[in-house]
Amino acid sequence: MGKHIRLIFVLWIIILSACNSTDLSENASSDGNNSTDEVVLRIMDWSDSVKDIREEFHEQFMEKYPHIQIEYTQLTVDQYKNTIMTAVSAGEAPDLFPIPGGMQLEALVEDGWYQSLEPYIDDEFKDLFVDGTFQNGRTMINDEIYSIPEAAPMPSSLIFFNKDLFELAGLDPEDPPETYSEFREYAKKITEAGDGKFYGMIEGGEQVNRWTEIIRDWSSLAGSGINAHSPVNLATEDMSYDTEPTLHVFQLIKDIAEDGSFHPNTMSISAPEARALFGQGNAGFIVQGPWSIGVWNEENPDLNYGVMAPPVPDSGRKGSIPITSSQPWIGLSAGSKHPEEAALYLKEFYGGDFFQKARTEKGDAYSIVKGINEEYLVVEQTNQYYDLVQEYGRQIPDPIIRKPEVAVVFNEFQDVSPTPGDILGGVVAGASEAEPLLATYSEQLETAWTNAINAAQTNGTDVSMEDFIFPNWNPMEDYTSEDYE
Amino acid sequence: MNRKIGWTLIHIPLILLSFLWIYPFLWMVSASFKTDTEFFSNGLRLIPASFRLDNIKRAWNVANFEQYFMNSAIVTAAVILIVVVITATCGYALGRYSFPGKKIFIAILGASMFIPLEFSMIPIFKLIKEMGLLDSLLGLILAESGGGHVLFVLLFASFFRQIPKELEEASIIDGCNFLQTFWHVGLPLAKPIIGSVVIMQFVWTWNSFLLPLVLTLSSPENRTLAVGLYSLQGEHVVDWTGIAAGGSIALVPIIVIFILLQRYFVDGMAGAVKG
Amino acid sequence: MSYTISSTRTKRSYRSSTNRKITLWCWLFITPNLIFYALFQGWPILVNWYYSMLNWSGLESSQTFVGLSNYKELILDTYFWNAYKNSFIFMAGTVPLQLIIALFLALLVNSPRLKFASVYRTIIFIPVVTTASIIGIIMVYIWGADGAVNYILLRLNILERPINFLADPKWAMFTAIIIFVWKNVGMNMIYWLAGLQGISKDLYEAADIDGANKIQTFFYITLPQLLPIGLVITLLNVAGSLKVFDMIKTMTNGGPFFATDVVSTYIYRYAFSSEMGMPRLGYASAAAIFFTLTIVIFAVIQVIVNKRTNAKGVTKIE
Repeated sequence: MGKHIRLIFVLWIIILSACNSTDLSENASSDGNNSTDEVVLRIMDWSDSVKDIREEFHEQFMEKYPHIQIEYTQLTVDQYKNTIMTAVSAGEAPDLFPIPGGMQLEALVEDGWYQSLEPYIDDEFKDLFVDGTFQNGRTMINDEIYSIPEAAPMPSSLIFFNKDLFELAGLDPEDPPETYSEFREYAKKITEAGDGKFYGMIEGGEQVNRWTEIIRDWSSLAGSGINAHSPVNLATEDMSYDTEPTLHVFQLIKDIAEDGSFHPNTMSISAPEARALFGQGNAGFIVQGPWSIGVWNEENPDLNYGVMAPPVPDSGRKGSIPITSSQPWIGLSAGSKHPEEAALYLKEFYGGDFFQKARTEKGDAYSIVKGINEEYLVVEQTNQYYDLVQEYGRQIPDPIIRKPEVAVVFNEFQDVSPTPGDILGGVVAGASEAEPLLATYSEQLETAWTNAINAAQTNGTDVSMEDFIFPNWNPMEDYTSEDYE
Repeated sequence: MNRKIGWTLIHIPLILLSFLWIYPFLWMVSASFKTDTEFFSNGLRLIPASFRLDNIKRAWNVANFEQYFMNSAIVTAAVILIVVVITATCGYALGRYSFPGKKIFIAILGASMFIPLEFSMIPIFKLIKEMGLLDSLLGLILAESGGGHVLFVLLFASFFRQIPKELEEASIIDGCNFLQTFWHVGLPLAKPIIGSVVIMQFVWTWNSFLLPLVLTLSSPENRTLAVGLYSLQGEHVVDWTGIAAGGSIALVPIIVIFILLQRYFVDGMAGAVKG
Repeated sequence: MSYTISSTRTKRSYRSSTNRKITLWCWLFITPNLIFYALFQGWPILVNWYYSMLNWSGLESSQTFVGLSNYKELILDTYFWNAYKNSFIFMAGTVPLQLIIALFLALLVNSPRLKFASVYRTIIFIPVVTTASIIGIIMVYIWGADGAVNYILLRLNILERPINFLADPKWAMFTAIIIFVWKNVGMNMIYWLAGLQGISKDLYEAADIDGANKIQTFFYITLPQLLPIGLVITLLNVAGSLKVFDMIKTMTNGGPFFATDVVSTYIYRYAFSSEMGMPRLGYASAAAIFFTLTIVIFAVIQVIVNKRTNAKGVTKIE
């Protein structure tokens, strides 16, 4: 009996101590509030490739403003989405948090997630950013700024190649392949030279979004008109995802897979693993975003690599890599009790002496703050990446900028699965045939999109299919603000 | 004699199989000493080039080890106690007695065990908030103790069913009531089940991630170790060696608990059943 | 004197008052668990059942009641049925293996003749606690084209060309099953060990006196005695394998091309991983509820069939 009593006793002690500890901490924080006006600023996001710089920034910030305590939580994209939806729905949102991927600012503002930044920021702050950063529908609602982009929009579909492996395969590292045939040939030669030690190409094939990037951007370079702004094909002005340029990219990837040029682990690894293996010299090519550069330069200082544009059809380039408009990122919670301090944070984050510079120097991303890229882009590959994007990328029209109301259609839209990214992954694994699946996808997308437009119209929004079509779009030219007129 | 040799020789295949069996675990431990480069380049090798402690130090700091370890320990201990008490009593009643409502109770509990709702945090989060326990360890403990525990209840129930009636009757003759009979006769016999429930619940609660993450969003001081270690995992950059190091140190308590509790699964109550 | 209804007490009034008392005690004993169930599982299930009839992206302002249309869409989605089928294949593949291997190991390490049994027990248990994300990474290499498994199979001339097991549409499910079994056998072993302790030593002594050999003892004493707990362990494995998520997510993410997509990964994708367009929490809830509902219907049919064909009734909790 005595033993059991002890057990219960221990249980109670633990429960009591749990209660006590919370009481104590509550007391402590409220005491702190009274005496020094200490403010706890809660921030949550997923930008992990600069975590060390971010943390240093926070330390500097807290040193400069000792009354502000920063609580920073960083999650993966999926995890973030789950967490933030739960938190917001229970009225427990952090002070500053980004817009989850796939969601529209307008819908979130209407739902009471964010508040306008206008009362807390001045013209000097707004003036920090490059033109085009603030656009109605994307980062602004009714001419008021609600959200600030993290960095300049940048495709993540360029190719990094290993120069040393080029040489081992008897290829000229200064003359990377340009066309589909050349690219396939190079991958094959590298694979042959590797003889099981290294391969032509590696991808984080387990992640569908990596295949999505490839199919969207590479096929656009061949003139497909697929883009990330809306499901509507800019070239065909409908939902065609099975046109010739797209199928061509599928064929190319399929050929490379059938040649055995993909690293055999491609389909079972994630993008960070693929990046690490490329850094180890296990593959000739990898399709990745600019953030990889900072990682390689840190982890694999001996890696001798370059950047190249995605290959174009043998008949030549017929389009451009689509560059999106500035995408919203961080915003101020509607329920934030410390908007002033949050604004101060944003001011230091974008305008301060440290973060934007350090990040650009690391070669992680391109800043949206004026003058930073020009001065602090010091990493060779980051510059090359930038130049290639200037050459091969073009601004594409954004239906939301032309008419912010169309955001309603996105809220009503129910994505169709399997996506072209799923299908491309399936092709590489030898599990699916592209053409029939893409035809089905196009059909189902047509239905889903028509339903979304109908639903938006039923809600009283004045939208139609016309709002997603841009007759004056030229795939070889930037779509500028004048073109929207 | 032959048999004795047989029982000795059996160790040779067993040792070999054991090695293969825990190879991934050994690899994880060895990865906690490797550099990031070595982690991938030296692929499947178990002996690290050097025994650096950087990863362990980093994981220790990033995961806020000292503080979060205590939280994990408190939460896990409290959850285990709650779960053992509520499932043992429940299993005892279900296993030994027939009473009105029992079948419906089992049916409802049993039906819910198949539902994959781990991602559905919103109702639980709101409930804890309504109870005013959002940023406290108590809220976390209650939420972690939540659920039907169907498996544990059934384990207890099926165990208690087997106990001979005579034991109980003896205790009733001694003047014990229902609760006392459970306490003096049922519970001591159920040690093997208690042991497995403790281990299983320990593993679950100790590694539980989503619930503690969501429930401590605005009170990082209450986070558990699993949540702390998660910050080594990023969207673009993953600190593998850090994860391996964190994973390895976080496992130590579970393995210790396992070794300590082992005797409950093997020493057995078989003798005691005789009365 | 006994608490059970079959008691031989003669005075009805006394009996019914005792019964009432016992019923009261029983309910008192199950109430704590009932409360925890109701709050943290029953309530969320009800809420999700309601969600499942909404077109809901997670925003408070965008909930529209759509009745059963999520269910209708679900039933028409071939990929849902693919995930559904995969969940059952996964269950059918893992449960028997886990049960048998774990029982074998439990008998082995339970044997008083085996030295260092506690070391082996710990070793068998270790995969249970090894971090899922690490297992995901290392299994990709061990089962990869240049990994240890292929190396051995090529050496033994079983394979001609290496196979990347987790990325091969024909092999991915099989490999996922093997890895899942490996990870969970240790837990099953513990349950079996607990069950073995419940068997009275008298029975073994009696068998010994009767001259039964090892195999006879196992089939005529151990196995029948383990049956009740065995049913519980089976149920436990069935539920665990049907809800599998972490392992699949880290090892294959449901791929290649949905070859290992199970209901949990399907739900997760609709709830949180949409690339263009809002999350579909209502639809995800519908998938969870529908999946569970069909399992419960299977179970009920099973029970009815059992009762009809087998009047005796197999060992049950009731």
